Amino acid sequence: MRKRKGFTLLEICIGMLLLGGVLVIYLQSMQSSKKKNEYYSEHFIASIMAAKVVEACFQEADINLYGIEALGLVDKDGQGLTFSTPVTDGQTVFFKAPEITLEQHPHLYSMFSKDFMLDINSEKDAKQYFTLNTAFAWKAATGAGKFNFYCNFPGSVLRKEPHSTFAFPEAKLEKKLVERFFEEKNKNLGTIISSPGAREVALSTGRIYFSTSSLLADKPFTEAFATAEKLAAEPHAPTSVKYYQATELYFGIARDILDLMLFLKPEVERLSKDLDKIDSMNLRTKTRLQVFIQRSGLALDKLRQVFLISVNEAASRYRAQMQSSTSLKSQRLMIEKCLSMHRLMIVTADFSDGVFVSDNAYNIIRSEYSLLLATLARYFADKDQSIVRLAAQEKRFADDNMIKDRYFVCDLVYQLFSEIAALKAKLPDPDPGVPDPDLSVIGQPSGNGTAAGAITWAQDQMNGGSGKGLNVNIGKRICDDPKAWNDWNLAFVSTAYNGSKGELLVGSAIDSYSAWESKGKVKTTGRPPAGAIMYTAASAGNPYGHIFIATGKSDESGDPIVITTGSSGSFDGVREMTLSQVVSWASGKYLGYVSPE
Amino acid sequence: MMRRKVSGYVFPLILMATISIGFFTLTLVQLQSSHHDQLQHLNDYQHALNLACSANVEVLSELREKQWDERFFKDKPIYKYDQELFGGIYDICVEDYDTAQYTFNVKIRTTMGDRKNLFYWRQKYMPNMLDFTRMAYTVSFGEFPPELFEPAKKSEIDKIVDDKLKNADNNYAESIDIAKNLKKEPTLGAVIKKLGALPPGTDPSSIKGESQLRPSSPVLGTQASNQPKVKASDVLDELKNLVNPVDRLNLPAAGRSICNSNLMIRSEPWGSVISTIPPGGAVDVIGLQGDFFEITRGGTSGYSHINWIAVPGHTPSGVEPPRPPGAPPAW
Repeated sequence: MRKRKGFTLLEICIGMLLLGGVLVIYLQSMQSSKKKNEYYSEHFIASIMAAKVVEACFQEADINLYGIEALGLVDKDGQGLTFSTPVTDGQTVFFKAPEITLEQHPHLYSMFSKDFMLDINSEKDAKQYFTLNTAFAWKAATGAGKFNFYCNFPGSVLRKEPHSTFAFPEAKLEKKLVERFFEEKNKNLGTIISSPGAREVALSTGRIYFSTSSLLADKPFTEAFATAEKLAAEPHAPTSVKYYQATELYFGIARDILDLMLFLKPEVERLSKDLDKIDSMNLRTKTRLQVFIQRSGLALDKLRQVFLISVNEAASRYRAQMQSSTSLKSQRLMIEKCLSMHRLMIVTADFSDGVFVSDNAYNIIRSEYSLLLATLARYFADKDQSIVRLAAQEKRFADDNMIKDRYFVCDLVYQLFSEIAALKAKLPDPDPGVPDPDLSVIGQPSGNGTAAGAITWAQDQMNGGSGKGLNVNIGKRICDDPKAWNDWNLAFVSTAYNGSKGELLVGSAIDSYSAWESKGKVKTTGRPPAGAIMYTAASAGNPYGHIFIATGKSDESGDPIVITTGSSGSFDGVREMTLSQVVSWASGKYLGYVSPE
Repeated sequence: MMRRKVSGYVFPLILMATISIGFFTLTLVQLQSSHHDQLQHLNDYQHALNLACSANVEVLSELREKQWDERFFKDKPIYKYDQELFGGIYDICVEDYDTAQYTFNVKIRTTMGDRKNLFYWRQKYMPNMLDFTRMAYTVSFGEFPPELFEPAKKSEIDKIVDDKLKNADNNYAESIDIAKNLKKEPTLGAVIKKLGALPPGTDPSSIKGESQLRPSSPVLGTQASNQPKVKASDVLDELKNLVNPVDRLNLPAAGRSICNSNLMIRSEPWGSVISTIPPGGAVDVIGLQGDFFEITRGGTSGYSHINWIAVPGHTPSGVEPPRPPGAPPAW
């Protein structure tokens, strides 16, 4: 019973020892737990921040082909750089906006200011993508803290091969050429053109001509064009579905034409380089080929013009849409497209004739681009730093004339447009030939209103002809009086066309020229076709100017042969002579010609 | 009695306290372990996502090198298992989805510890040259149960993505309308009311800041060009004249002569005359050779110039064509 009254000292000691032991374990656990919690917390924050860095890199690379460079993680040659910086120094590109400051984020600041270092090592793989090791190192409560992510990012080298759905099928090309260009059937191209170099020129011409024809024959393309023009002419707000639709249509038109033109680039280069290889072909075959070379060259120049107009229109519309869009995602997409189009405009500014009504295309293009970049930089300063960096980078590329070097398509398009300009300057001027004589006007007082009739009738007034053309002004004919048409050159040409052209029913040759000129009908380049109405200017000795008709023929030196009336001071009657002789004789400079149709 | 009872509780109390602290300590360790597991899981997931994204970048990089026509997955789906990257393991499948639309699927199944994740990209290759800063864009991205990676499950996962895209497409117009309507609401409370997001009986005024006017969004100052451009359709018309419309005809077709006298049918382009067509006479146009239509009329086959024969899509000029240099006279 006495024993059961209490515990022995030994029992108490054991109890206290047990309790003390457990308390020690508990306190140690608490201490360890505190440290581990702190470590896990820091580790977690580090992982979140590393994920933020990785995400920022993806965002940057998504909108900017040179995004990793814009972040300063690789140099301008794409070679890796080591990036090591404290997080809270206000300089770290990933934590600059918003910056981690003591005032704004005291807890984060106190954590990151303890030697929290962001280290990024970048490395370019042989396959042109970047591998980034994003690491955080810090002095953790448990010792050295470290966390890292490896991740790949797309590289800046991007090339595509041009494809066009409008490319004329190679399997059908030779047959088509033989039939359409050379008016033959069931023959090989080799039997028509023996020179391999000339054959290649013909094939290149065919690819350009028939592929362009395929584009123009494509119903969706022509309908898209018509719809875009219609919608653009209507007053739709930039927020409206129809405005967006027109923008996409213009973008699609520019895209289709660019794909086709770049696909045809090797053909343009060949034509430009090897045009002289067709010189040895026989006259008829060469002339036929020259006709299509000329059409193809001019068609390429028109494609250039339509492409640049469409690109300008699409870029302009994207700028308007961006203004009213409040979605950052859609703004980023539009910025990406818009910048690409502006880059193309910048590099081809020297080839932008026929795009703007104003002839100051170069300045318009550069000022619109500068304004766009400045506006983007200003607006996105507190919203999306990747766009701010992109705008700054673009400005540098443009200022340093680096756009061609940085974007392969810009370089290709510049080369292409240069080639087209060079080709256009040396396009052949094929002999248009002459129409068969129109026998119905022989012996008649006037022509019948057609070009063939005009030439036949004019030739009938020359020596050996019937000379029965009637000058109604004086009631005389050459068969009766060799001087019947002397000094009546305008009346002669008008009679050759049977008085059917209003522009010839005026007071003088120079008035007639002015009438055509005001309608934009006068041409000064190329060979005047048969029946073309030609002019020389007024001079001190001849205030009325001179008018005459082209025969469509040329002499050996390419000088056009024309039919002209004489004058009291030179010769009587009607003669054929070269244009140079007329200019010399009429003492007025050559003004140009009007095609008869 | 009382003292005896009190003194009898000391040891059990110590024992209880010891056991309690022991349990508490164990619980703490368990909590710590759970906390650690959660963090580890989060980190593993981020690692898995990075790994999958990195593997996808490698796929795109390979596509860049070989171009679309020579893509490595052109003929059949490519499955690769147990690939290693950055210390992780992944399985990958790359396959065409709809070649007409240039779409392809990339499925990447990562393994981190004992956990697997399946990431799925449907991507669209952009063959055009105008989008020259972008080779492909993601049509759809998602995470799916890892077992759907297997070839036998291909149609199942594709269907899920198809349905998701179709659903988004169906809802697009409506979502635009909703966004447009919500933009008009002046206050947060009005927006919530419009959305019908308040539980029944909730007083809207109890929402913090409900009456506060929504700040107007700053406006991006980019503007459309005010420089008038040449009309593209005028240039297109000039282009259409350069590339003769006759080259865009669908032949054979029915035609007729527009010549007001007898039109010649020649044996070949610029060849001898073998017959004539009376004014307005009908012909079957079967082909094009040079600047001549190949025609048949009443059993006679030959060639008549395009300037005088009308067919749907071609309005003849009615101009006597010049004889090309080198072409022999017809008679």
